[in-house]
Amino acid sequence: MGRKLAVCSRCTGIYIGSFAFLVLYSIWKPKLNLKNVIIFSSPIFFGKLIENLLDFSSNIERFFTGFPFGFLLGMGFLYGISSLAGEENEG
Amino acid sequence: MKGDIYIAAMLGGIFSGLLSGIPGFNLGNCLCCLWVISGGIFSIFLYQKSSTIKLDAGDGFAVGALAGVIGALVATPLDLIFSYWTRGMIMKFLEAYGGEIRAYQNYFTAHSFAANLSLRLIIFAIFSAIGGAIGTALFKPKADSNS
Repeated sequence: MGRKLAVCSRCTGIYIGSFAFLVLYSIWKPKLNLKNVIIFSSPIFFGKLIENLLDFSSNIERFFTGFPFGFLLGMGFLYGISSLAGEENEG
Repeated sequence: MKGDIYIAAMLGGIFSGLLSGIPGFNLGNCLCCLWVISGGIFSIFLYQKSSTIKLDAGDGFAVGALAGVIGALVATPLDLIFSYWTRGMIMKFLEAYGGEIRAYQNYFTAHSFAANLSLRLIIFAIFSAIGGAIGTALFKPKADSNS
């Protein structure tokens, strides 16, 4: 409370979202496809758009628009690594 | 096929490196390494545009990581060149507002350059690799585009 974080609130949301995805992965396995890329990246896009158009911005808004994008980054990281590891095992 | 992958990774790396190294444009990286992730996605776009082979997330991850390494090798010297070029202006600003001049001067030492490059190599490789994996979900190869 009242302390500065090392990264901005949007990036905090992104990092927490990434870790949350890694934790949730055991019970929830969304596919890495175009639909999910759009779903998870649109909040950050529209959040930034609204910030610029309406000149409105808050740390809570930034955090919650960054959070779903963190899911997408977590997905990219986990699926990329697991796919690479799978190939290595097959070879 | 492999040659094309290296060319795509190199072009994606140059794309992210240039945008991350040029002052003004590099502010885009404040939005969760936008240019770095875009570099990974761009390298997959370039590869899939000219290839009929569908890359999976692992391939995209590897290509993106390579693009990130190239991006770091492009961005770090470029950033140093631009910083050296504008150092007079920044020094005046630091003097006027009581900034840490000594810390800024240390930015131009070999140690600082090595530390900067090492850090960028890691961060660019990770985020660009994620971009590459995401890129495989976004782009399909030419022949596979109807399926």
